[in-house]
Amino acid sequence: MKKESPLSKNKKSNNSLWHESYRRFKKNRLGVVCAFFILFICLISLFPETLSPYSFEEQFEGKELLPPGKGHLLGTDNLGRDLLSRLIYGGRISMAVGVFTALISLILGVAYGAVSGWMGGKVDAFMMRSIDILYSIPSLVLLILVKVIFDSLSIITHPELKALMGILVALSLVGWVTLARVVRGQVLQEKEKLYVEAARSLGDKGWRIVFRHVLPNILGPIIVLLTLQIPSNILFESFLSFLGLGLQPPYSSWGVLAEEGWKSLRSYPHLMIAPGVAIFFTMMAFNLMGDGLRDAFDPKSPQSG
Amino acid sequence: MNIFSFKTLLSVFFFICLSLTLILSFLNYEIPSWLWLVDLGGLLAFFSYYTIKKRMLAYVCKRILGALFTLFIIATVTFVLLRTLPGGPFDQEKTLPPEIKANIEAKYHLDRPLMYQYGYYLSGLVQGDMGESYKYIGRNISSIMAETLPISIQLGIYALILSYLLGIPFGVLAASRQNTWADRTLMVGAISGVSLPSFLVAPLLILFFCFYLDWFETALWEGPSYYILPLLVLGTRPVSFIARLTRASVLEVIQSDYVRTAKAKGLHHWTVLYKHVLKNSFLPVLTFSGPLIAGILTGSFIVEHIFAIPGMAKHLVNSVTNRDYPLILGATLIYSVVLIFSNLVVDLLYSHFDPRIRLS
Repeated sequence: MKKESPLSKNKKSNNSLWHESYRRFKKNRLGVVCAFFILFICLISLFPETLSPYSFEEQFEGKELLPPGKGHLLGTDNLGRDLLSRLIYGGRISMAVGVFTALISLILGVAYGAVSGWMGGKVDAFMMRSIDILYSIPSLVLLILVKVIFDSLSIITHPELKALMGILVALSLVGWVTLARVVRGQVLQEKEKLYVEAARSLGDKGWRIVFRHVLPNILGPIIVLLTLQIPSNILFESFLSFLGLGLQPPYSSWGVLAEEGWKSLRSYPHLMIAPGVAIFFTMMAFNLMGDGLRDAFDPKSPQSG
Repeated sequence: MNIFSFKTLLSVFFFICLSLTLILSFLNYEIPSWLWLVDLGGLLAFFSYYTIKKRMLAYVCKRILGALFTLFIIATVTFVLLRTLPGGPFDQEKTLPPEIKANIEAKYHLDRPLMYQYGYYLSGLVQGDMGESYKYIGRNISSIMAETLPISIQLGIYALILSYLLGIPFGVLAASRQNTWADRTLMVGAISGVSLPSFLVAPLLILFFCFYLDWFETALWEGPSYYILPLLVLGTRPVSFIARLTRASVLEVIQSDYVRTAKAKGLHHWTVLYKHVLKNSFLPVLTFSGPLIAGILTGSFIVEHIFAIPGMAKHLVNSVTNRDYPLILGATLIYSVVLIFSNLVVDLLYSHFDPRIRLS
């Protein structure tokens, strides 16, 4: 099921594509460091109470707008809430939104792209035309639109949950389009290859070939796309929150924090810079890891894109 | 090729006019109407000349029809979704007396069946009338757009030019000095630029240039000193993307056989780079223009919000909180038109620069 890498001829051990990619990735020090950094952020997001000094909504009276210093490492905001704690709990929501939406778009995108590419012909043309329509709306406009529509539905009554769900639905609906296009292109390419014919001649039926043979072979590009989708979703979430269309305080995400900090930039710049730096490092880690993964899975590909 | 041929002179003249328009508009001078005429006429003339010369008339027509169809679908779906949503724009605050509510609904034709509203909206749309705003009473969406769209387009075009003007030289420089400190610095800068959220760049720039140095203005859109910071913020990501892309593409071209031949002929390093490499490595960069423009559109939201630029983004964001459905609908359509149109232009340019591509 796993494709033999042409490089494996030179090696004595049995190197699958995955081993080869793993080895190449390990050589990329920066990528590995970034992977560990991401793991670290994920762990903090899973267990925020271990590192966070206070709760995200606890207010310390008389300690409003402290500059960074002892007791409150990053200072406090205008309601006397500890910024570091809010940053950590905010990161939890940002990361969760980024990861979950990427996963949902992954499922949607792969399914859609695989069907479209595999069926080909009129089905493919129709499916791609419909995607083109989604593609002609700028993503932030589409996000806003989906969120407006979702927010007006009264399925969920809890306002916070509703805001969060709105963002999740909007981001997943926007993100899957790119994935679907890439998967479709890959499936179209793979469909013509010999191993598909071999599988068919051995009696495998259509969808079984797609799932057992084609998809595992295009997993590399999909994983790379997924790693790049997560930071872009995190960024979009923060954009929405920054515009005041996302989550509302006291719940925090990095975008909410930036939006709060923006109001008092001149006097208390640390309130805005802290969440910005947090997003910056996370994005950087994901981007560098994505680059490393791409080079690992497809060493012939150009260095960036 | 004769450099003094009529065609060359014409294109040089046209190019100068275009640049003049850009510079004048950047310096916030009044642009004389003849310049507008020359620009628009020139663009149209070039567009039709190439369409006919390359025999792409059918293709262009097909694309334009397709774009219209796409817009029609977007308008329909958005309209139906927004109109069928529970909870209208007029029942979020205090409940209005039923007579007043009925009056308001009659004014906006909300009391009629959905099909009638839809037909009414579409017929208006064909005539360029996008209905009246719910929030800004008595104002037509088209007039709001006519006021704000030029500003947004100005911002977008400057950012687009900036990203090519800076991104391509950076990328070429990095590639031609591969694995030196210049390359490394540029690439670290580029990967940081890709990861920088605009709401981190903006405050840093504002703190430094506006509060500390007092060079530029922090908000609004009224002259060169207002333009520079938003442009820098909006340009950060595109410039970095273009630089990375150019570097990768130049590196790929440098390895090709014809470059080796050119070098073997004894041509100068820069001649090879300029004449053989650059032209061929421009294609992937051009292909990226579509996503680039989409990215600039997205980025302009945040930048317009941060710098309080009176562009379209402000209205779209406000219209969401106000539930000003006609405005949401109008802004969505306009943004889509911009994106669809730029994608069409990119495709046409692509076929011009790469004769191997046959559009059909």
